[in-house]
Amino acid sequence: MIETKGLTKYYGSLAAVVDLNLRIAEGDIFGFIGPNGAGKTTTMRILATLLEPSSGTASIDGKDVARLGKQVRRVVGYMPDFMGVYDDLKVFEYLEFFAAAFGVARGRRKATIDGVLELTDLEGKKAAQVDSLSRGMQQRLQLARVLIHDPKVLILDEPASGLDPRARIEIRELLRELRRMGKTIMISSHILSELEEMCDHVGIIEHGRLVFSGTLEEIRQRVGLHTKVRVRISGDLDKAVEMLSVLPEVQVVRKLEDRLSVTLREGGSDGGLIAKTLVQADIGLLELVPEQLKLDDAFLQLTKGIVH
Amino acid sequence: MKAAVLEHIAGAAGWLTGPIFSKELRVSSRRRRNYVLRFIYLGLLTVFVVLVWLSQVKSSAESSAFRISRMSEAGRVVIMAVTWFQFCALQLVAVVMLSASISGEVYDRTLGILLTTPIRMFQVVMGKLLSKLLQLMILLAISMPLLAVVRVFGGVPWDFVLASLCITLFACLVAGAVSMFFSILFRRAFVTIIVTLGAGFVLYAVLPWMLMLVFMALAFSGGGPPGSAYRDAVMGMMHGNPFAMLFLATGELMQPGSLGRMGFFSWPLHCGIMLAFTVLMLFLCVLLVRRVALRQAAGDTGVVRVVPQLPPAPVARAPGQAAPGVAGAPPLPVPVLVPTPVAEAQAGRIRRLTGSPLLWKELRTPLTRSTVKKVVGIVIPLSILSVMYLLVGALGQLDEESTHIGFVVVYLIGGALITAVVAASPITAEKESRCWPLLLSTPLSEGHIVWAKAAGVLRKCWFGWAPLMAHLLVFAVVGYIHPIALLHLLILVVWVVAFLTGAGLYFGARFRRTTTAVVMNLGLGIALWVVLPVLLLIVVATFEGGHEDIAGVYAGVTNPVVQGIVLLAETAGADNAGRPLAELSYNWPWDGPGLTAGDTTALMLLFASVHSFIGFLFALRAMARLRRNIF
Repeated sequence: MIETKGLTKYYGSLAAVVDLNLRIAEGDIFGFIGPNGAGKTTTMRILATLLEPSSGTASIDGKDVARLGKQVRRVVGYMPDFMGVYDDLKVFEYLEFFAAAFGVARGRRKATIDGVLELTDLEGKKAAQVDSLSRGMQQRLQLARVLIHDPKVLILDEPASGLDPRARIEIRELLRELRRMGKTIMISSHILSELEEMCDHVGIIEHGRLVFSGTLEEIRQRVGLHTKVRVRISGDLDKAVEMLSVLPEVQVVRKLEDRLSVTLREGGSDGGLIAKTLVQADIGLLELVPEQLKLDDAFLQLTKGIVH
Repeated sequence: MKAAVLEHIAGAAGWLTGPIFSKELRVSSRRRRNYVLRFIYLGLLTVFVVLVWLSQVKSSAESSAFRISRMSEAGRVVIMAVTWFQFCALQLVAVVMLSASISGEVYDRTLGILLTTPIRMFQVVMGKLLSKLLQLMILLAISMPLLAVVRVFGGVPWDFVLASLCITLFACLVAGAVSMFFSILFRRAFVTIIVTLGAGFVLYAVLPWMLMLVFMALAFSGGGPPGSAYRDAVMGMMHGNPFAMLFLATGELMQPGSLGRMGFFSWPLHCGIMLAFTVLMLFLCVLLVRRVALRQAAGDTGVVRVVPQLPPAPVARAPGQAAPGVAGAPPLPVPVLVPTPVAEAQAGRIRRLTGSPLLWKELRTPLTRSTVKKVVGIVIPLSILSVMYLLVGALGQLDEESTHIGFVVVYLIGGALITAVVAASPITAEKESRCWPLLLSTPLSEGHIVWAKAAGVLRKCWFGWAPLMAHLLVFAVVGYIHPIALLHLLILVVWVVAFLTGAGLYFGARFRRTTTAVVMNLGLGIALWVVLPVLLLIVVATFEGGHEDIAGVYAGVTNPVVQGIVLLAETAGADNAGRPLAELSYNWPWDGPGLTAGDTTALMLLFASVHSFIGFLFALRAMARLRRNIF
């Protein structure tokens, strides 16, 4: 659905995006992450037809964004990383304005607007002035706006930034709902734990270059070669460390305050041998939990903190 | 001792302005436009001085002794020209510089933050005013070498240079303070600029003119010639008017002794009055800024507007429920909603969109949402106009040609000013409200956007031309203006609107800030219709060669005010209004016989076509630039 080939964008002599190759399948939620100034927003703006690439190509739904901008805009809902509200319009009028701008038929507008208002929990604000809404409400209104023409693709730049935890959870629920509706979503966020729960694929960009693109599992494969297991026992911790360290599938055992952190070798089991060893040694096993590699950890390992 | 005194002065200055002064200077030193402004200002001033000088000493036929004897006179003329140039230009610069001084802080939401610091509100106001004043003084100072060179030739007393500089400086102080005052009341800088210019026109032109009429009526009511009381009253009034003061001062420079016949004249007194007025304005500014800052700290986003928040709506939809209205969504149970009373009450006021969305928005967006501002904006100008017409009527001058020319010139300038400002703002307003990328991410074409914006400009600027058309219509019916003037002036208005709208949209597409676009559009008008004709006149006077009417041709072809005067000179007044159409003979400012009404109509249509075409080209350029520098 979204594809870039050798996409490059320069601002004067500054390379914002360099040779970016992306491929996002239809119906996917693609998390686009990277440090500030990495090139995420520039990429999204190119895909939204608001910037022209210096070289390379980008296409959405098979249409080149640089040459067929108008057709691309019809299938894309773009939400920038800032609020854009007209002072003098009410919520319903604002949405109707964009509905008309996207060519939604007059007869369908009211139902469509009511639908997106309901989806974003803004029904009660229909007659409120747009600029009187709180930040969270305005963020929801932006989401309602991008949905107004039922686009196939949503490009959401930091949709949850600056929102309180409740609003963030609501936005996350909303995005899940949109995925169920079959939308292809490209989303950037600094809150990686949220992306982790939503995204099928993740792209990590730094210094304008894509350093990784793939599924979360592929990230773990790439950076999390070792799986960690958290072990809590009722017996002697030192004895347990001694016993586990000699097991062939265990690489390192670290004694923490009240538990052990066991790092398994590549291709190691899920910790069954650890449990068996401890039980056979008559050590009370209270807890054995595999520790999954977090997206935050992967991000830190894959990026160097380089910014423009 | 000296160091201690300097320390005390620095301490007092620091107390007066706080850290705002240094912050403003630091910020302005990083803005390229300030350097560009200084460069343009000095460039224009130099060209102006050189041309005036050449026009004064051009004659090569006279002897060297005669030419040397003329040096002092030439020096006086140059100094006078430079003084007036600085006086007018610097006041305009002061108004523009301070037009966003407070509204900018409100817009960036920094005013509320300032309130949380120990900085006092008067320090904010003084810091902003004095930092801009310092920059104006730099502009004044960079012209000093020019003045010094000219003064070498003699004929210009130092006290005149001092008086003119002080009058200019204090006029700038007042202009800046008034601009700052309005920047508290209005969110947009261009509104502040236009209101400040309007206030200046009322203060310095309309009010003195009305007072003069009153004084004249009182002076002549006794039957005899006006006495010294009338003269003293007029001179007293002039001490509150920097234009009048500079006029008197330069009159004394050119004709020494002329002031003696006028009566009491004291430029220090004038400066004192201006300073007192500035202090009053600053006091009001401090009071208002505090109010606005408190509002912002309390969460209000506007400058002087408070929008009531609706109570939060009850959440009735279960998580995961999709909206039935969204295409592609599966059918879902109807959610149970409990509407809030306020939302229900307001729902009735929603206006439904018809036709082109952008055109709909442009046509319904008001200039201001504030009812108070609307009332004030209508009542004050109407009251002033009513008093003016009543006074002119009382003096029996309504049937005179010059009266109507005066009114029409003022209305033309006002209409052009409003059109220039309104035309330059719709695109930049989108950029400033950060809606521009959203609009450009819709399938609306560039052409659609530009033409809808142009329609919005026409809708918003009509009120600027309404007084002109109303004046023409009323006095054509009364019989003081020939009806053909209505047609000619209508054509004139059409081309001015078309030209300024096209140019304004182009500058809007070209620049990010409304103030920059407005200043550029106004600057284009001033350059084409004021600066170029003046320079052309000077050039023609300097370089002889049988092209003396070039300046007249240029002004007649391009300048709407000149065209308005030509059109009214033949059709206004009780004598002209009753003449048959065939007898009218328009004297255009070039050699040759007067033109008939038919020829003048054809000429006006030609002017309108050319200027409208240029406006159209500007609009095309705006379209081409629409997707550049979006962010």
